[in-house]
Amino acid sequence: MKASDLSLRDLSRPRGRLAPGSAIRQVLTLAAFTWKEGLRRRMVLVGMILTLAFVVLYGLGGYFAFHYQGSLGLDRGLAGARGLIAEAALSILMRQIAAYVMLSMGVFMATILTVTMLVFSASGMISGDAENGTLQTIVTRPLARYHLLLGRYLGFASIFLAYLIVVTGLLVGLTRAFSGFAPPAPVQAIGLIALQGLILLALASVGTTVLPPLATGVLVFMGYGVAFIGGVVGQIGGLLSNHVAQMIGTVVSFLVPSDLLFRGGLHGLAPSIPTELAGIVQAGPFGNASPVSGPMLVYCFGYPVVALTAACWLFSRKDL
Amino acid sequence: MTEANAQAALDCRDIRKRFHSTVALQGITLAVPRGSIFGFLGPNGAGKSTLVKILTGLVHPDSGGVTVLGNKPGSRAAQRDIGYLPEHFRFPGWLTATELLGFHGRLLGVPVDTDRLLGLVGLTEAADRRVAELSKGMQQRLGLAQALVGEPELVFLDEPTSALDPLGRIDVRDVLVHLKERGTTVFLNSHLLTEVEKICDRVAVIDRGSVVAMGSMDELLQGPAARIEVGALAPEMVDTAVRALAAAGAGGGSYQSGVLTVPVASRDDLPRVVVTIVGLGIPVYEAGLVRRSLEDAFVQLVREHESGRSEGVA
Repeated sequence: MKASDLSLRDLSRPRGRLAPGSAIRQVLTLAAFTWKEGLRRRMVLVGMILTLAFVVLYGLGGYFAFHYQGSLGLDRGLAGARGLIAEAALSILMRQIAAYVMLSMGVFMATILTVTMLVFSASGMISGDAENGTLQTIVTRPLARYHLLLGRYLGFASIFLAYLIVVTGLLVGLTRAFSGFAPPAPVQAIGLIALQGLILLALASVGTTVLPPLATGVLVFMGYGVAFIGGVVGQIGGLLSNHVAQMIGTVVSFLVPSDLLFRGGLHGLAPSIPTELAGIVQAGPFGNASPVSGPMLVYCFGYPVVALTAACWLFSRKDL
Repeated sequence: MTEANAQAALDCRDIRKRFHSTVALQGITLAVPRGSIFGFLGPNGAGKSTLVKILTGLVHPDSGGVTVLGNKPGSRAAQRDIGYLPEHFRFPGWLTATELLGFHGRLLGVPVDTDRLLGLVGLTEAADRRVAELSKGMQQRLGLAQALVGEPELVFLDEPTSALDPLGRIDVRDVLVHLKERGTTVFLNSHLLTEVEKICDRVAVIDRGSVVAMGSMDELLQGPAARIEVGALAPEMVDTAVRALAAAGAGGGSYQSGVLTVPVASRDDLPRVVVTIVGLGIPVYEAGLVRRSLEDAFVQLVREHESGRSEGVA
């Protein structure tokens, strides 16, 4: 070590105000840092390999289901319905229903995988980094704490959005290739499903400013699970016209609107089914496909904004 | 000198902080002149790191006024000109040493001469190695380089040599002396009193959240001490001796491995000290005057404070 290497003031910089746009640059630096972390720590690599396996298996399932549908009994599934609809139309409808059931299961799995990755990677982005001493040297740089939180959120959000969009897009594409079923509103559906990632990540952001990583992970995972069950309760309420059950479903979807978006996404993927047959699909766990109303959509976009604002406020007061 | 330069680099007035029921700081007031190396000493848990965290904007004080280079701590204006090496830090293991410094440069918005900084802390060979592969000592060197990114005016170093071997400590000392030559203010938290004694201009001693002494090194080490070799003493005997000496007007004595150290005003006090000790039936093997070390001063100040007899030195 040679102290003379650092000659007097030759690296000194003008000590005026920070350059305009520096906050945006800092936020993007932190978002890029998050991507790099995902790549270097091989989260992205492992995620990609296993997702590839998942998509390939899904494709194989689709291939077998639709190339050997006769032996699967898809065409004979509803003997009683034959009187209602012409043979050919029934055959097409059954293919569509089978394709939709497969697709909704696939999308559900993609969501679960995303939630799992989110829980493992983002739950400690504030509390975990503060505990292990990574955060302190970053926070003492000339950036507001909310820049740090926004940068990290942006980084994780772009990872999970990209993941959900690509995987859901692949599932829709594969389903169409094997079954010929084209969902009515695939782009809208993929958008709503991907929006779940922003909601859950916002929940994680609030959690991690006040809770340790493990508790944040539990909050997000349980929050997601509760929202799902709330959706099922609401679905049962709808089927039985039970207002209390419906109300419970509605309240839960205000607290964590992820399931609402999932069902909204399914609505964009579901084939139009004659009312007489709708019960077949509606009784299943993914049967509550229902559109997201305009006000609820606004709520879902507002949710991450409000949650992040709260997280930034909590973070700004936190002792590190 | 402009008004800004004339200001103290750090100015704290009556800072108080409690964590739940634990009082961490109870009214810290201190000022650090620009361009000095300021040593901040105290036993474990005295509140040293808490104060540094308040000064760097990581922890919010409950009350009191603080300015860092004339700005509010934690503000972007203050953060722009400080560097900080925390006591317990970790850098992301997946970054290389060069990337880490570049990352901090981007957050700061300045180009970083990473080769020069790594050379300064003796890490040239490790430039492309990932943090996870570096030893604890190398990580501490990297932490020091990180604190110097962007040529800060004020550098906070919290136990910067805790993981370093003696050679590493000398390296860090060289860097600090050089920073001082450049006019950089250094706020140094350290347990290593000999180190602080060698390089600090001013020192504050803190105990249980209060400053018990503050001043220049000369002020703090004021006065010689009598060094009396007495052989092994039972703890009760040490207490008796210390009390008897205090009664004889030589308070603040301490005992360690066969040696009683007693602060005295001048050489003329030495015979009286020896007579007092011999009068207790304790054999004296050797007696002489020594300059008080920082360790002696520290031990005396903290003991006095803890027994509620502190008068303060500042």
